[in-house]
Amino acid sequence: MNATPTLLELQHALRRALLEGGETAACAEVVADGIEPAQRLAVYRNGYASRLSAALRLCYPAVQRLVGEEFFDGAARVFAFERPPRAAWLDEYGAEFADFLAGFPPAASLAYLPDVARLEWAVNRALHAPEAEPLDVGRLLELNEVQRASVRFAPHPALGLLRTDCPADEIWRAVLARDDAALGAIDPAAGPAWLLVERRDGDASVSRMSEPAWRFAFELCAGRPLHEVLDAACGIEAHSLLAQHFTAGRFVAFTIEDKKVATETSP
Amino acid sequence: MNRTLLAASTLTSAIGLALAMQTAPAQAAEMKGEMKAPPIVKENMAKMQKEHLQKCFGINAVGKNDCAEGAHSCAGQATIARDPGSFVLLPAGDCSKIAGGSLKPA
Repeated sequence: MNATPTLLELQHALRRALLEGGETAACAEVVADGIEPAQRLAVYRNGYASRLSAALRLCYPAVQRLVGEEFFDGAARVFAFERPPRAAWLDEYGAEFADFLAGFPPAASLAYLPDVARLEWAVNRALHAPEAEPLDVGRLLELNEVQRASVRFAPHPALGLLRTDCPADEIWRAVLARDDAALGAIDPAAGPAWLLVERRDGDASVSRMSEPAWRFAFELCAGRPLHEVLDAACGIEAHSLLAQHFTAGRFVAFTIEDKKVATETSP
Repeated sequence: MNRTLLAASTLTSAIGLALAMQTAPAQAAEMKGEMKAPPIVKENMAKMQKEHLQKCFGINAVGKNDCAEGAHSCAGQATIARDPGSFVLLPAGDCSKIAGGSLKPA
């Protein structure tokens, strides 16, 4: 037998055993006491996939209902082995599930499924994002004209803006509410939806926006200066939309000319 | 300079409007078409917190490491991990309730 492996070597070997299964290097380090080492490791391999599948199930209830439990669990397991978590924090696990589903042949007949998954991830993010104090709008009054024109906003961490090819919001709501009539009335080919996901009173909320209003919000949240965003905007009541964003607490800070203003000067 | 003026005045009126809305009933700010998440979304979040799923999955109480949530018995089913390569399922859930939903393999 070789020298005792280091902890790191053991961890790498165990990782391989979890992801690949079968006879791996880790088997040599496992005591066969009534159960073969490979079988012993298979317990962990299954536990690994089961735990990740359980975590995904909590994130993606609508996807699960759409495809059924068995399919979901199977897909979650393939996902767990193909794209193992990169962080030990389970809240962050599953961000790539929508991408995975988009390239997962058994789910190819459900073109809307990746969009529903993306929406669920945004909802999940909205629920788990840290608290942040909304921007005090009154502070903007301290800016001069040039500063007002070039102001940039920082979005609330719970805020999500996504465009879906299908009415993912309708599908999501109907399937979670078990509203079969609504499900039957949905046309998956009805065209894109522009969605805003945020947290309100501790709950996730999904709103539909017009495309120009969504773009306006998207560019603002990307931190582009106001005059640039306004130049690109058309067909919107910019001041009214801005006021709505302020009132809903969708921005937490502002900067002018790359200098942080809102957070640095507050007590 | 016109652009600057326009942008500045847009912001100024937005600030005024926002400050006025803050004193008005909250409904004034509600967006059209807003949907609250169905209860299951919040229930699942509570479940995550209760079951400590948000914690590091690699660190687990001694003796609990072999079993996932008690759904499988360690000695039996758990060792027969489903082979992800043999995935032959078709979606079989509420997707069939959506018009035009096809369940044929692609």
